[in-house]
Amino acid sequence: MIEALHPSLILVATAAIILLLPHRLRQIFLVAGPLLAVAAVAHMSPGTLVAGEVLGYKLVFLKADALSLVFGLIFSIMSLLGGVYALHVTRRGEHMAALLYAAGSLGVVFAGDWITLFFFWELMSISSVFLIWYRNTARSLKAGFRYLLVHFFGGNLLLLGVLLLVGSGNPAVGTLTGTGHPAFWPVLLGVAVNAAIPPLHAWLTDAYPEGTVTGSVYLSAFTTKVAVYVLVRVFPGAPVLLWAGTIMALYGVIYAAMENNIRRLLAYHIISQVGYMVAAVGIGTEMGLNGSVAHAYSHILYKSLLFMGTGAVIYATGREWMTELGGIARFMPFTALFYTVGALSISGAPLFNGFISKSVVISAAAKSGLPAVDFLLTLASVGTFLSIGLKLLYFTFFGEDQGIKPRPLPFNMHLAMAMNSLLCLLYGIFPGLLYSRLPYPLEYEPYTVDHIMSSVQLLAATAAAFWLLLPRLDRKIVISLDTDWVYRKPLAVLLYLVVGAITGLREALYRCLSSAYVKVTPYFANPYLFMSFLRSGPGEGAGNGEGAAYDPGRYGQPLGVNVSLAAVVIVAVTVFLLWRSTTP
Amino acid sequence: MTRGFFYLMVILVVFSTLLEIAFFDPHHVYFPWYLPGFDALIGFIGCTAIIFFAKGLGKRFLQRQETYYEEEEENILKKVMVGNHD
Repeated sequence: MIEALHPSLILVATAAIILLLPHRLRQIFLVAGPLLAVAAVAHMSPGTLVAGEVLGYKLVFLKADALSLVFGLIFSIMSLLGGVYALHVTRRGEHMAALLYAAGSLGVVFAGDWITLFFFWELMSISSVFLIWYRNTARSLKAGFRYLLVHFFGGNLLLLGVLLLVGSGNPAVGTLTGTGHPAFWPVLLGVAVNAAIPPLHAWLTDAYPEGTVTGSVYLSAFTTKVAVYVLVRVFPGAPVLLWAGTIMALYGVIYAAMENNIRRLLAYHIISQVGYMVAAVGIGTEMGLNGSVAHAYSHILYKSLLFMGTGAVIYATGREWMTELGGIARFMPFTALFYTVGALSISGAPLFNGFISKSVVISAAAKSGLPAVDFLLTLASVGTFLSIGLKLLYFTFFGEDQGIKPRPLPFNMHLAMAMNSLLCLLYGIFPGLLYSRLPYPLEYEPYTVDHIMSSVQLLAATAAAFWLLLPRLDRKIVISLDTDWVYRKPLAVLLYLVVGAITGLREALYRCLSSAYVKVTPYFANPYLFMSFLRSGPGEGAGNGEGAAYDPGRYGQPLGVNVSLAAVVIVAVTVFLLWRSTTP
Repeated sequence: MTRGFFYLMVILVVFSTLLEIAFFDPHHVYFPWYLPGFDALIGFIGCTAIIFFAKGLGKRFLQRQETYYEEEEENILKKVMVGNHD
């Protein structure tokens, strides 16, 4: 039964175990748990099915096919890499959140029905927000709340779609393209929120740079790529995705070119890279879908590597603005090296894994006769190399020396980056390792002379232009307005106005009621005040609470009266009881 | 960055274009930019265009102070939250 062991179950169990263990023992489980999950996915064969009945619904917890297995493999590998990178972290809650987040992602990937999928979808948003909140800054707290609200919005759209689907007797996760089902748009929009398709993308660039150093590595890998998985599974060939993806790819590039915060720059490039995958889903051919999956696989590796590198910089220096960094490569040579591997991978340099997957997407566009998509995606890869391979690398690690003395990194961070770099190179040099796992057969050879040469040309020409324009690049700490402006400004003002109105109403009510309370209380403390009020009218002590204190000498009964009253009552009760007991 | 970096890049462009011409395969030409040397143009012009476009867009419309959102939040709070009874 080992081949049907659900990897999410392993990670959830690990999350529960590490809560009980001390730091050293916990580290063993943080590696062993994800490792077991990788093994479980690697041993799973297509066609594996685990189903059960819950509350009268037949749920398919685990359904493996080629598509879910390739995503399952990379997500479990990622939970291992992220776990190694975070080994030094002592907050067990953060580890637990990361493991549940990974478990949620794997749960979505292997879910065979919509209800299971939705459950794990929500588990992802709820657990991932803690990776932001654990940074413990005012900014991360606020960004986390915005992140959560946007994801609840998207989750509810998905829920609407799921209810429509399950209600109409389609509980199995399957394609919706071309079916004309009313759930098409709610599901698409719900997934688009997680895939960060503009204008629904701003939560990503808002929240990811505010996450913890180790948490943002997980964040960069899971949410958007799980959404890509659902797009490939449910919306292959949906025409709207073709253009949404192409625009996305350029949108991220343009914003990244304006960005100064190192992790926000990378976050904009998540949007750009996911744009390639979304466009490839929109192309809809077998090669397009293969390209989307392959690019997601590569992207998870190199983007998490880039987040590890920048995270290491933030860990070591405490700075996250390019303008405040510079000249740290001689203190952090390995980080600079590993970051460069990631940067060359994302830029599609030959021998690195971005080269073998990005080109599948672009070739799919070319073979489907889409010149504009082909051209714009090529342009986006120019911008990718410009921002990540040149600008961020140069200004952060080289450039002007700011006299920073970085603190040393823990060994495990270096180890995780080294493992990740090796994987990027491994898949780059041996593309067959990835191509053989893709859902459809792929006849494609990335290493042809003209392809290698055109890539070299593209990158070298970009670098030459960058060198010429280097003095003209802006280096100021600014932020760029994005679509989150809508809910952070006008909607926020509206919200504050509503809150203000309600607060004002509450204030007025509070004043009325409290003055009434002050006026009435003395009468309850001393009922005789009613009589004194009747006797002498208002103003004499009553009403304002002063001088109306209870005075037993004035108002109290003599003790004898109380005693004789009590005696009367006792006699009356005794007589009554005797009478009841004698009469039949 | 040194001048040598720039020269190295120029040499790479020239070298790769020559190789592209030598191994030119007309079957792979789907669109005009699959011709030798065209990628160098996209790289050079595209990079320049992206830098200036982003710069203009940012300066004109999009860029604000780092504290843009926080400051405004406080101002609104001050205006709206009147009559605090504490």
